[in-house]
Amino acid sequence: MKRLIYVLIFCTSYNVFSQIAAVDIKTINGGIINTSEFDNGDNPIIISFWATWCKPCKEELENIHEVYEDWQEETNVKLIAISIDDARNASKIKPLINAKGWEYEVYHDSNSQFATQMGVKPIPHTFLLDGNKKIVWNHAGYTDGDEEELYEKILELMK
Amino acid sequence: MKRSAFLFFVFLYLSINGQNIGELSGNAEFNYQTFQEDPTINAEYRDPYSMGYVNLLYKYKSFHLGSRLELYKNPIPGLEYYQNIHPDSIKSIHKNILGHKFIQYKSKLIDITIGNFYEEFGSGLILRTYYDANLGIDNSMSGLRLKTNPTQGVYLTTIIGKQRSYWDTSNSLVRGLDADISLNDIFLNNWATYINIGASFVTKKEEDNMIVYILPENVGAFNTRLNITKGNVSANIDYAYKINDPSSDNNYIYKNGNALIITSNYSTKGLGLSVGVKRIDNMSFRSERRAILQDLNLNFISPFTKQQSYSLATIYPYTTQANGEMGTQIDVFYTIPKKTKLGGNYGTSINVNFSNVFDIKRSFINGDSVLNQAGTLGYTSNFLETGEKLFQEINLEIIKKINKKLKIISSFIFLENNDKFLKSQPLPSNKNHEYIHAKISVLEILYKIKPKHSTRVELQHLQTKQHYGNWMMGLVEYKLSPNWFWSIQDIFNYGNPDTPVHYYAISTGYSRKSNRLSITYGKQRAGLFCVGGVCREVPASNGFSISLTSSF
Repeated sequence: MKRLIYVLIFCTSYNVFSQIAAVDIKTINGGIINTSEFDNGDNPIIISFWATWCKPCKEELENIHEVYEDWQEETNVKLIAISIDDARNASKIKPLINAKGWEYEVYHDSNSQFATQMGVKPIPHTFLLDGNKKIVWNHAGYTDGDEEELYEKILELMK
Repeated sequence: MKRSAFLFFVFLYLSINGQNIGELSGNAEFNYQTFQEDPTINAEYRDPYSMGYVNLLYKYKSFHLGSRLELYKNPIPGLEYYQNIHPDSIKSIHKNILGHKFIQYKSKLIDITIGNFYEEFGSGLILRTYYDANLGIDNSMSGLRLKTNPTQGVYLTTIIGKQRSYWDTSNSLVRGLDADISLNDIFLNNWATYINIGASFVTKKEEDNMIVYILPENVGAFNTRLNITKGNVSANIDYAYKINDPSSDNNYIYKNGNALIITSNYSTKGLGLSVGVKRIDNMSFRSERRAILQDLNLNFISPFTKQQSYSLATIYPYTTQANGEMGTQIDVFYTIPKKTKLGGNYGTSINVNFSNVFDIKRSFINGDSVLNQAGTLGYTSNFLETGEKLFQEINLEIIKKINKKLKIISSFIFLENNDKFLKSQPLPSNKNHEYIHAKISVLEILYKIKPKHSTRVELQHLQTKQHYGNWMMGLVEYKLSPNWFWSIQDIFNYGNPDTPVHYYAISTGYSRKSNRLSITYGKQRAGLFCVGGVCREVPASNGFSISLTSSF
């Protein structure tokens, strides 16, 4: 028990981020893509883990959607939304994002293989990757206004 | 234990001290809950329960080493049955174990895993193993997995192993093969239509360990899938077949099983539509024929109903009936464009969901006078004919952003839950399981006070003449971005036929980077606790619960 707590404290104080995990996940057209193929040239990438049933996740994606065009113009950033829905909601992912008008790249991590390797537990969980696809920042949970902190981090990468 | 701690620190040391000696990452979760006696909600005193784990993943070139150190003290509430079926294990619920470990080699062509792994073939109709700490589910395979991508668009997986069962493994050997092929990558390169096909085969080998029946020692299941997408339209067919597999789930009948799920969707900017039909017949598939409840499932049949998140809407959930069900589901997502009368300045989102589920129709086999009699073929079933209605739900949700500060979500649900048949709800005194009709209304208000300060108010009402009667619920939450939240809520079962009951709770949470701590004090109602459509019955409780999650 004590030992586990020590390990926990040790780990939480030790944040080393590197490249994202390379895992095969589903495209929303039923195909397969390896996450190592995620690409945005030398520009930053946001990876956001969400699900069709997760309210704060949709709140985050909706709030970023409202400023996404400005973000893209200023920083060329790309958002990749990874749905961790299981088979139950698989067929709702595409209609939902299209109805919302979200212009994100969307993939389906149906058995949370990618999420597990990325250490994602509660969602939403958002990662920011720099131009070399190295993870530079990440945040679990969403509160109204969190996207401002994310944007500051993207701007820091531009310097 | 000592050895694993030693290995862990060696990896940690190496990864800190040399960029080329690999990378270490992982995550951790810790949950703790206390239980005090509370006669008003029939909650009993129990010893505190705690559960924690640390997942570590070490990567060096093409090699990955993974482990999960798990800690348990007392069973998860609602999982006590494990003690009843494995009485010798009572001592072992105080345990620290290395519950998950693997070594993996990954290259462009091949991916080999030795040890524990999670796998899903297609949508899981004949194989899905996964981990959910909160439900107490870890049905990982322990053995060998080989994945290969011999040419673009072809993905092959083969597995062999035993399934994890608490601290042990199941007594059967599971083998599986899976292929996914993207036709567009092979020869339809310039087609505007995307076609993906898939097929899998899974067998379990379990010794015939019963005297009464002669049981099949090898049970095979087959699954095939097709997905076609052209422009805005997509269609998906998923079919599975299983040979006879007498088990405690199906009362030891020798009938074959099958499942068919067809979904289709259409979407264009502002409008999305999803429709689906499903038929399941005798498709429970576990790695041990005696396993019950949430234990040792090899496959995953998802419920075909909306996944609810508001608390009163989760009182009467539907859980999949693997022995037989037929259902339909329709979802419409529509955004009324902005700058219109109904759309306002930001657009208005509407979601309508309809779902219903029926039992399959079962008929006597010639000469039998009892349906589903053990040791027989059980029943015959007309493919298109439905049996009793089990569940129906109509959901309407409207999300309207009024201005930069204010957003309103309203939701109405009309549901029918045939608990008389399903018998999944806890019962009030002197009542029997009944057919439940309920109307639920929800109003959620999100208000941004100033940058980084926001509040959320939820008001919910559930009306029903059956079961525990009417409920109402109120919640106020205050969030301070990016770190804090506080909330207070009361769920009031004012229509309870015995005596009205309040379930109040206060919570606070702190999150920083990828670490999150939340503490709740209050009462929790008895009922079904569900994650992703898999449910466990939990007793009423009153006490503290603390949860910490972290990734690194």
